[in-house]
Amino acid sequence: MSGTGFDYECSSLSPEGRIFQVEYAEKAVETSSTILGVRCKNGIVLGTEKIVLSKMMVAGTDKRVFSITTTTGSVVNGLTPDGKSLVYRGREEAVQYEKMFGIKIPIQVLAERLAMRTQMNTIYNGIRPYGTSIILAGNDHIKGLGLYMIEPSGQCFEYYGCASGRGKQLARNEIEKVNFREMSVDEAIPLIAKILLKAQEEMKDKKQELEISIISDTTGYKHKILDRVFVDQLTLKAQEEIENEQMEMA
Amino acid sequence: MSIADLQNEIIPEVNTHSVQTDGTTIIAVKYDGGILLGADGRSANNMYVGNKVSDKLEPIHQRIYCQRSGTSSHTSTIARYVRYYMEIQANELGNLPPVESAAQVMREIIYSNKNSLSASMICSGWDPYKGYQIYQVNSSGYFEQGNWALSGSGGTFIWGYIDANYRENMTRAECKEFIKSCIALACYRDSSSGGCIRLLDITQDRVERDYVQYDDFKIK
Amino acid sequence: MISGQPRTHTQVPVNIGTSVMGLRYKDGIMLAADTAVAYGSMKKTKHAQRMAAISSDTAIACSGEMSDFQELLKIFREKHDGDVIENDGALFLKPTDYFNYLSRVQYQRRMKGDPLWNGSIIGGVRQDSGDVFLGMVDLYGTKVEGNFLLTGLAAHYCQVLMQNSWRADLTEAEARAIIEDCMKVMFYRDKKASDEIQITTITKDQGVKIHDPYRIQGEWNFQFFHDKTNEFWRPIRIYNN
Repeated sequence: MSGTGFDYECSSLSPEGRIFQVEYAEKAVETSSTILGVRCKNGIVLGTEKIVLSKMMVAGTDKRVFSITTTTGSVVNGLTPDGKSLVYRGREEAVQYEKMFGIKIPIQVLAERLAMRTQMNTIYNGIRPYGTSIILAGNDHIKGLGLYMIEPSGQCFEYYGCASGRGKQLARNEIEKVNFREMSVDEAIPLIAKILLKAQEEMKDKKQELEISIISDTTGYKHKILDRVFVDQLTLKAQEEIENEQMEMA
Repeated sequence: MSIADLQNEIIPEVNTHSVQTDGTTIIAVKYDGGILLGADGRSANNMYVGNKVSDKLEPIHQRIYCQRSGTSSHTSTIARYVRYYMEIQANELGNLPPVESAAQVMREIIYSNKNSLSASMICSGWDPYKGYQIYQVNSSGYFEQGNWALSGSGGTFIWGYIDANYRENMTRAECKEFIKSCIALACYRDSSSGGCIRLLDITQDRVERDYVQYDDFKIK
Repeated sequence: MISGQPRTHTQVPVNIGTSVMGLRYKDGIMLAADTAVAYGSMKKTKHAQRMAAISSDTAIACSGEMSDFQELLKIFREKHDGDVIENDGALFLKPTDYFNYLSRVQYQRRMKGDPLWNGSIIGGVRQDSGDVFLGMVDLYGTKVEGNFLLTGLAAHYCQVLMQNSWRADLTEAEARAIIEDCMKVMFYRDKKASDEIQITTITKDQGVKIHDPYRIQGEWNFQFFHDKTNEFWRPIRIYNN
């Protein structure tokens, strides 16, 4: 992919109708860790995998799962600082909306506003697009549960299950295979851990860490980031299962 | 522009010396399958009845209405602001706005300007999320939700009547009679209420107005 | 409004909730209030809730201007939610933190000449250490801590009652009995009090639990009530020393 002069700014389209800066941003997302969100029978699960960059790094410092409001969760990939900046923006929007209209921000409105924000970064000179995909999950009294994904281009859709990052294709296939909508959140969590680990197969020699959060009726539809100890145990178990499966295959 | 506003323009000398107030009896009651709003028709400037048939039922959105009591200019301005906010919200939501939101916006306006405003309002209606709701914000910004709400100077005279006669899940016809007698009784004793009764029926499917003339007021 | 004057909120309270009470007992904290909100002297709302949980281990009960109480709850909720959302591994706010925060908010507003017209009692039991806390803040931001606390008229009527009956090892039933006793006195002698009361308990095991409101029974059937008429043959007590 070469831009021939059209790839330095995103203020102009190339003759083929492409914006290269946006495509490069998508590239940054595609090569980063897998994130996914799945709608279940009684809630939503968000998850991400990540490689521990340095042995000297304090465990749990590299966070990718955030709360935006008490009932809205998000997970980001790509350039995580970009993602964080979007999350902070989301928190501001949520507080402002509540001050203005006296009700909690509906997840659909929040997603739409963040998508607009992302889109603004794809049309001006001098600023670059966000190099991040963000998955939003939330519950509100307008529409109930909602799962949205925003991509660097500002594209924003609602999903039953979505994935982004390096293991996107594999994760999407796996999500489509399993009928998560008939499954409770508790049943789905181990499966999702497995999907996330499979999605980073080629990196499995390095130390891997998962981050998972849920919104379900058992948490009172509040966003809850799962305990690190619990997730680490889950990871070990999932790794074992994957190895067993591979042994059987061989 | 409401009739009251027109009247102020026609008789300017009345308005230069006094503020038009909705002395008012306003009442909102939830019945089985809807909400009925009722208001009297009198707006007075001190002793002078500025408007005999004013409309104190103000639309906020398709299924949200508010009722105004207090200084007319204040309350109609607040209603206009709330209407503006709800329109923005409905557009963004792509659906009917929540009644709670309209009431909260109203609370915010009244609470943060309580020393300069004289306004006590009821906000009620239907939305697809929580169904039929009635909220009330009084002049100092105290926010309440209930199955019925009562406000205005005339309300003072019929609290006991309502405590004794209100039942949950009345039929529409019963509720209408109840509200009519409430307002008729209030007009009987309150010098700031009178003129006519305006009724408004909000259901999921439609909004319907009704009018009762003074001759048809029943006290007993 | 006269132009040039600063914007102010409550200068005179209108929607008044009367006294609230709080006391320590064996398991934790008990807060109590009646459910009436008076508008002027009319008891306009008879079933209002004048207490609320502000976190999993802290609760507040409020007397005074109820519209300000609603605003206060919004301030607290914003504080609490922001704290939860941040999820930065720092400890979440504790009962004492909310207490100190409230006193600063109250003091700041008072210095603006725009007070939140409330007397508030904050109680809490830390779920980690089990530390029990009970404190009171008035509309000037004054902080008071104690084993039992009373706001408003109750501070005049029930102080001695509490002093005489409070012990550190009260059971929940005993604590409830004391509260009901005090509430009875309030209902007899405070015109804005109601006989429907509500109790919140905060314990280490159960956290904040807001109980359903219920009516208390007073004694209205003394013979002397029947006899205390204005007839001139009213029985006169004669003391023979």
